[in-house]
This record gives sequence, C-alpha cells and structure tokens, in this order.
Amino acid sequence: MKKKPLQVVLHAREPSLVEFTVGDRVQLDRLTLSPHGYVAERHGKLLEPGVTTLALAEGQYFFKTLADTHLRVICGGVETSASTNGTKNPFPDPPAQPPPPGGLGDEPEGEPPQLTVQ
Amino acid sequence: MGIHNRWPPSLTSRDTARRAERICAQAGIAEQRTLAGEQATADAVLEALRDAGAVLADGGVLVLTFSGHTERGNGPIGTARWCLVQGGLELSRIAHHLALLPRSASVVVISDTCYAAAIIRALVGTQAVIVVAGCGEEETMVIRARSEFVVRLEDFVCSTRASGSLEQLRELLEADTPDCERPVVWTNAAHRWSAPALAVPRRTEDDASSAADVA
Repeated sequence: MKKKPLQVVLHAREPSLVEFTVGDRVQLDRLTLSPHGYVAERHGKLLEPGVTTLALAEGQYFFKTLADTHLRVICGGVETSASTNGTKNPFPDPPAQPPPPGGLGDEPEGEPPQLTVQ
Repeated sequence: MGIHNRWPPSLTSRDTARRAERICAQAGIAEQRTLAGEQATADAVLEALRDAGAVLADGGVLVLTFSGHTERGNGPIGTARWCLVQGGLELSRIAHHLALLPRSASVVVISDTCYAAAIIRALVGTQAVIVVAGCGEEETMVIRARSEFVVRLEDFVCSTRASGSLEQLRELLEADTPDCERPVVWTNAAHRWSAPALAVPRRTEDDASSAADVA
C-alpha cells in the first residue's frame, strides 16, 4: 500500500522543548497568518531520520511526513493535531488551532503513517 | 496562474510568474505572455500554446510555466487537472497541444503545483522536453509565500547565465529538501540539453521572438 503524507500541526502555547523521532527527512515550517490564511515558512534545518530535539518558541508549526513519527514534549506546552487532508478545503477563519497550511492540490491516495505523542 | 473558487489563493503564483519572466529573459527568450488571474482560463492557455506553435521558428523553444493548484482526482495521471479559471485543464490536453508544436521545437515546462511531475507521464510528443517540477507526481506542495524551488531555479539560471548543466540543476534543486516534497528535473533529450540547462540554444535575432512563456 502506497504511503501518503501525514500532516502535523504543533501549537506551542509557550516556549517548549520537543523531541522529534522521525523516519524520513522532514521539513519543519513555522506558520504565519496572512490575509489569505496560514502560510508555511521553513523553520531551521531539515530533520534527519532519527531523534532531534528542538526548542520551539511560542507559535504554530507544521510538518508532513511519510514515516511513523513520535513526538515527546520534554518541557513547555505543545498541542498537536494530525490529518491526511489539509488541502481540499478552503481555509476557514483563523482558528485557535490552525489547520495544516493549504497545499497546491487535492489529497493523494494512500495509507498515512502514524503519529504518537508523549 | 490559475484560480478556482474551490481553492484558496495560491500565494506563490505572482512571485513565480515574476521569477519565470526573469528566468526566460536570462535564457534569451524575447517574447513572453503571462496569463494571470481571470485571464488564466483553459481556453486562453490552449490558445496561447497554439499561437506559440504557429510562430515558433525551426528549433525554437517554448517555456510553459504553471503556478497554481492541481486536482489529481482518482483517474489516470493524464486526467489530473491544472486548476484554471472556469475549470480545470487536463494534463493530457496540455500534452496533446505540446505535441502539436513543430517537431524541431524544444519545450521547457516549469511546474509549480502539486503532483508537479505528473505532466511528464502525460507527454506524448516527439519534441525535446525538459520538465522542472516542484515535487514528484504523487506529492503535494505546501503553500508558501514563495516557491522554494523556483527561487533556486532563478538563482541557478542567473548565476550560471543559463549555462549550467541539468545535472547541476538537479543536484541544486534536490538538495536540502524533505523526502515527501522533492523537486524533479527530467528530460527526454539529455543529449540535446547536455550543456545548457534551461536554456535555449542561442538563436539569431530573427527567431528570438519565436518563443513564448505562458505562465
């Protein structure tokens, strides 16, 4: 079964330390609100497969991945949400917890990886 | 640059269009045409392709740039659609129109959209083609203020004065990209494009106006 990306939004309510365990090369983006909704902007270097610990300032972050991923919040406060479909619907009004930033197409087929949070 | 009521605005499109214009200028393409906003209908794109085909000189080059949304749908890859005003344009129709260009023509497609490399599998013509795509045929692109691969592409073309190799371009675009959104550089005529990358075989002034950029 083909894999499709899992899209993960992190909301750091306060400065936080998060341990990412990823299985592929992952780009972490910071989300900023534009008049048209949330826009992603690269945040730091790519996460290489394995374990990476990052200090996150308060704000919204996003990544997508093809591999099972584990997040461990070492300190601070982080809420997560994961979906496989952030691209089909127009952006809603800015919510407290943003949807994944839109993509330039509809949803690919396939089975998404899993996200676990500790 | 297509828009569609179902889709959020593509924030990258205007930036990509401007960069594509500079890329084409650097590559020696004198005549460009940009279809933006409400102008970007399927009919207008196909008409622009027909017009370009009619004026392309022997050995002329057409650069086709699209920045916007693509609907993949569930059908064969050729039924994926660039989202334009008043409806989508199937990749198979685009490929069909490209195949109608003179056989001696060369085509460069800059695909700044989801499933960007899918156009490769829809191609049916015998013309030499380079596709520079922002992601693979099964991958989606995240909306950003600027399309990172287009920024790199412009830097590459301008810094090398359009004389870098396709392999150099591929390495540059693929470097430092996530596994689920990786640019693609493809050609069906590596021998023909081995020295200059995007670029257009240098032409005389007489045929310098024979290429079009449809963004």
